[in-house]
Parts: sequence; structure tokens; C-alpha cells
Amino acid sequence: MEALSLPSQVLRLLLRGQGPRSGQAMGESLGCSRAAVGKAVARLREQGFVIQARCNQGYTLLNEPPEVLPARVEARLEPGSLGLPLYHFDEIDSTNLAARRQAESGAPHGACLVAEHQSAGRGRLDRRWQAPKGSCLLFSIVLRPDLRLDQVFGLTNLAALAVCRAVEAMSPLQPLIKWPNDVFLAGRKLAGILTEFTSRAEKVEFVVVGVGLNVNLTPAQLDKLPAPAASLKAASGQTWDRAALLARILSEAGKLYGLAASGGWPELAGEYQARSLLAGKLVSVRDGEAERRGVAQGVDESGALLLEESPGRVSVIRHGDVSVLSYGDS
Amino acid sequence: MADIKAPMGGKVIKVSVNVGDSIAEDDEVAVLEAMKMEMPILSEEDGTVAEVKVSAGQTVEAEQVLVVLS
Repeated sequence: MEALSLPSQVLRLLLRGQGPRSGQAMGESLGCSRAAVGKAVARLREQGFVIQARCNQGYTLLNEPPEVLPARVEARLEPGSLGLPLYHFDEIDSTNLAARRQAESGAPHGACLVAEHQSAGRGRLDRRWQAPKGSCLLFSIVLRPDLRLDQVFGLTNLAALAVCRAVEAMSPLQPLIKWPNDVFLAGRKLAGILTEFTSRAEKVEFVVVGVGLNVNLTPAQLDKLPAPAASLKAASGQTWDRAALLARILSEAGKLYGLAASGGWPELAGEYQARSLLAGKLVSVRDGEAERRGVAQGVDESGALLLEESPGRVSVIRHGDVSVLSYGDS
Repeated sequence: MADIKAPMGGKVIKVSVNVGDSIAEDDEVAVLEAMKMEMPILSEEDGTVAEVKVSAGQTVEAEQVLVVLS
């Protein structure tokens, strides 16, 4: 994990609360001068943080800006997280496009781009994706994994697991993964994942994993979307802090990536199955004119869906649109 | 002659070259889709397209030849 900026480290201390913190004490614990702490506080105030200073007592954090500012996320990251360095944009064409550009100019493994609004948000096949500014969590992570091409799909699953874990850790909600790249809540789409990569000579150069997560969309805003969708706010009745949620997702993603990198794919496949919307259900897989039906099993180590078309006959599914058949007729 | 093969199974969603095209290293020859991910297939060398063995919409297996260069 890269070293955090001083403002992020100061914010991390202020977030612990328990009364005012003196510049002297913060400087001692961070290994810098009291003056440097004062400058970091000034930088935070410029960004919209409200920090009270009292003589002979110290600093108290009174309010944070609502945006997903790097300092807000970094101050909440656990060691081993993905997400550094973190770049924040008020508006950008698409976080995936920007992440590709950053990766092509050398962004390191783990770099993360987050935007309040995307002017050219993309779904798969360039489908446009729009959300009211500040309502969603829109971010992309650059990964430079040592993987074969046929293993890259596992990273989409990893991102889906990180989203599920984070939401579960912060609420009683239990999202489920709909293979291959969506996260659902109570039968409606909560998040979509768009993974893209560049390879040379069958080796992966970099992967960009983009996530669009419906956080604070109100029920009225959800009704305006073209397809049924869920949001964390609509499901929980509460407004979520997107910076805290992103920090949690990046922390979980770091743990999952570490597990995967040390050969833990079978363990991940087990967790995936436990969080799968499809496992054990009768599903239809449509691919153009063709349709296959069967009982969805888990995923194999490459992330492909295993479909039992008839007892004992399991096919490996890598493409097509999957829907759950409400009324079994197999 | 050089074969450009599918690195993994998937569906061809786009063929980016035609027979007779001159292409350079790193030019995209096709795009595969698997698990909702788009995977550009790049040429590893310069050459001329001698044969296109797949078409858009077709399902391919790993190691299947997509394009032959001369």
C-alpha cells in the first residue's frame, strides 16, 4: 500500500473522534511537525471539511463534504486495500475509459478512479448508462495481474464479491451475484460490473474493472430508470456515505485479491456459489437464437457458469443472457 | 503463414479485418466476448490477411484459428 498523503493521515486521526486532537500529538504520531499538521488541516478545509480548532485543545472534525474525495476514502482504507493512488473527478466521460488511459500511461496496480458523474457512462456493448450526479458510486480499478487470458474473468467475480461483502458489513442487506457481471438486491439490479483488458502475446497487460453501484437513488429516481433497479437507500431507508462504502469495497477487494493471488480461487468459487442468485435455480441461457435450459451450478475456476442441462451432464457457459425461469418445466 | 487463434472460448462479436488487408503488429483483428467481457484480439506480427475463418456471431473454442496471415 502506498503511503497516504498527510491530509489523509490527519483525517484518519480526526475520524477516530474522542474529543479534540492537538496538532502536537498528531504530529508526534505521524512523525511530522505541528506546523505540517496545521497545513494539512488547511488543505482539508479547502476541500470543504469543517474542522474546528480550539486553543490549547486541538482540532475536531465537525463535518465532511459529501463527495467521494480521495482523503475521505484513504482515511478509511485498511492495510492491504486496493485503491491507491485514488483519483477523484467531479465529472468524466467514463471511469473505465479514464482508467484505460491512466493504465496506458503507467498507472500502477490498484489505482482507482472515482467520479461523481459520468457524461458517457458505458455498459457492455457501449450501452449508455446515466445516473443523477452524486447518487451512485462509479469507480474503476486498474489491475496488473499475473494471469492468463482465460483467468481474467475471475476478476469480475472478485469485484462482485467485494461489493456483496461491503454492503453486508455495513447493513443487514444481502445482495446476490447474478452471473456473470451483475449484483442484485431483492430481485432487482443493484450494481453492474464492466471488465475490460488489454493483452499482448496472450499475457494480460492490464485489466480495468469498472463498477456502477446504485447507492442513494430514491424510489422515485429508480422508477425513472428503463429497467427495474434497486438502490441501497431505497432498500435500507437510509442515505449511505459513498466514501465509506468505497473504502470498504476497496478493502474487501484487497483481501479477495490477496486470496486469489495466493491460489485461493477454489475458496473464492465456494463463496461465489454461496452468494449466487442463480445457483440451484432453473435458468434459461439465451444466445441469439439459441436457448439452453438447465439448473445453474456454481462457477468453474475460470469464472464460467456451470449449467446442468440434464442429470449429470454439465456444460460450461461463457456467454449469453441468463434469466431465472420462475416456473420450472424441466 | 501465421495463425491468429482464440485465446479462450467465447463468441465472435466483431471481425475487424478482411482478406487482403495489410495489418501491423497490435492491430485488432477481431473482438471476442465471453462472460460479458469484450476481449480485443490483436495481431502479434505484421502481415497480410490471407483467410478469415470466422464470422460475427459465431461461437469459438480456445485455440480455434480466427484469421490466417501470409
